[in-house]
Amino acid sequence: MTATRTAGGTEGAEEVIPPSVQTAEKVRWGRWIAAAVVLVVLVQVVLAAAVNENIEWSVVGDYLFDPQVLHGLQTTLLLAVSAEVITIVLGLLLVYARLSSNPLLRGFAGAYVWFFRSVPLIVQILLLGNLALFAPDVSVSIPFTSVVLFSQDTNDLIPAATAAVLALALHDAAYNAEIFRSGIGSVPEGQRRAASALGLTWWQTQRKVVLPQAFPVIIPPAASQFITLLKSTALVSVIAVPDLLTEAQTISNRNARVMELLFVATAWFMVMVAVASLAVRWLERRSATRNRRLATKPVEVVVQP
Amino acid sequence: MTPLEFVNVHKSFGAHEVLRGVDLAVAEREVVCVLGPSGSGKSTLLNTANGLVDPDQGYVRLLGSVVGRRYARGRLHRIPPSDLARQRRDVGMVFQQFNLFPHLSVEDNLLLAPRMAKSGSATALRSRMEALLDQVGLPEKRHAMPATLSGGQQQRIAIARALMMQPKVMLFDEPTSALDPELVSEVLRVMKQLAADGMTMLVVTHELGFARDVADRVIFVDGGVVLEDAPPDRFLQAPQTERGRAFLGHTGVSASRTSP
Ligand SMILES: Nc1ncnc2c1ncn2[C@@H]1O[C@H](COP(=O)(O)OP(=O)(O)O)[C@@H](O)[C@H]1O
Ligand SMILES: [Mg+2]
Repeated sequence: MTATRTAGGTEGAEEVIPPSVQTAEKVRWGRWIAAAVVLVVLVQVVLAAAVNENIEWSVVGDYLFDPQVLHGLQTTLLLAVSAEVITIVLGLLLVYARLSSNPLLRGFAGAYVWFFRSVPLIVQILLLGNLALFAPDVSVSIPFTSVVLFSQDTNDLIPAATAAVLALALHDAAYNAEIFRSGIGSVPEGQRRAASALGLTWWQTQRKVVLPQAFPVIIPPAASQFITLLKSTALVSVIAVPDLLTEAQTISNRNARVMELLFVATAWFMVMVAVASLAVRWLERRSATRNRRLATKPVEVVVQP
Repeated sequence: MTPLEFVNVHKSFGAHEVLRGVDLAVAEREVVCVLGPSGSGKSTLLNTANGLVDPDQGYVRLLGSVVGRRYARGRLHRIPPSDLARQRRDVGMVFQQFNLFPHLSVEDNLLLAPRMAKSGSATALRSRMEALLDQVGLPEKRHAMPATLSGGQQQRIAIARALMMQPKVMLFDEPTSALDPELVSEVLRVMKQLAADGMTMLVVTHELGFARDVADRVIFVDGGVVLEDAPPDRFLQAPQTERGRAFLGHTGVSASRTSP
């Protein structure tokens, strides 16, 4: 055994390799080819758009800051922000219902999440926006009597914009509830037991122990869910809420510049999503530093001279 | 008044009967160690003393009042959660896994519960905290985050945190079982001092040396009942039951394992 190894070792003479030898960089042909293909396609698309005589770019510029477009933008932001506020509250209520010991509440929350996640958002918007067809007026009466306490026309009570916010929030809450549930579930049971043993009430335990630890886990998925919500607001144009897309389309119905006004709406959506993403990045970085500060042993910092 | 008394405590999880009628009284300033094999219901028993576990039958009396219950018209009635929370402030608990709040500094870990309970002015709480950090030997860790502490340090902070509410009774559930061997003694030393200062203590432990040196009585639990209740020397040297002998044989008989 030893003999063969020695024999094998001495058989071929070792080539001389200088100690300062370097490893050659591999030429990545695949990468260059892929880049070239992408570039060609990109140039084609940009040229097609830029020199296409059916699209007038100056029109896009003209309408970017058109008062009607800006008004639509404002409506879109308002829809997204109010829906987000409602969805956070509703999502928290749902997740606590889902985690409660009351089987009725648990069942309701489960059914809610299942229903609102299985019906397409656009269908929900249409349903809520057209509620008046189904219930022309809303009234509150005392059961088994003819005493009516309150009655109002549905369309007056729930204007299109409110229906839109409600539809967006109700739908989104189902997703947020799941996001919150995984965040709250990530806090170990021992934390709750320790808090209880110290005499904290349920609410104090949630507020001071559970939610602060769940927060960093919740932020990234909740933020990306908000960005989805922001884009979903465009769907409300189907019930004539004057959002960004609706306003853009109203204008193009007048001047027949369909593509130009769609580009205007696209540009604004891209701006909104970019701003939201930056805000999320900032929040994440902030909670990451907080976590580093609290979750790990002190990092040895090597200072370069 | 007996600070802590278990009366006919039963508890089942599903079909599994974990506690099958435990009777045990812990006198004022007494230290009682609970020994028993894993899964014999020691933690469950301890948890009934502060209402983390709700007994199916029987009750636990803490400083005169029934834990989580009110006696009226010949029956026990559940009390509202806020009243149970108030009751829990009289009994401190230390867990095997420390369970410090990782998002709070040592200082905020100690101050959270007394602040929530509005127990004392800010200055009073501050000086109570400083005294306790001295007592557990970690005054310099006041602003540290829990994750930067060793296991032994975390457990000492957890003891200080439990003491912040000025409890009359302290419960320890295997406080040194999760520690590296070299960190055990620093925690036992703090507990020993606490016992010497007259704290009423119920301690689940596998540290036979600690039981021998510090406990007034040792309880041996197996199969959900108290099988032996004796001074530590008598139980450790001459267990009266077959299971007790088997348990000690398994653990290495000798109480010779030294504690600090
Ligand atoms: N919350 C619970 N739900 C179901 N079973 C439990 C629960 N807590 C404890 N048990 C069971 O009860 C038995 C006793 O547990 P425990 O009191 O933790 O024992 P010990 O502390 O003596 O090791 C074990 O079999 C355990 O699996
Ligand atoms: Mg246990």
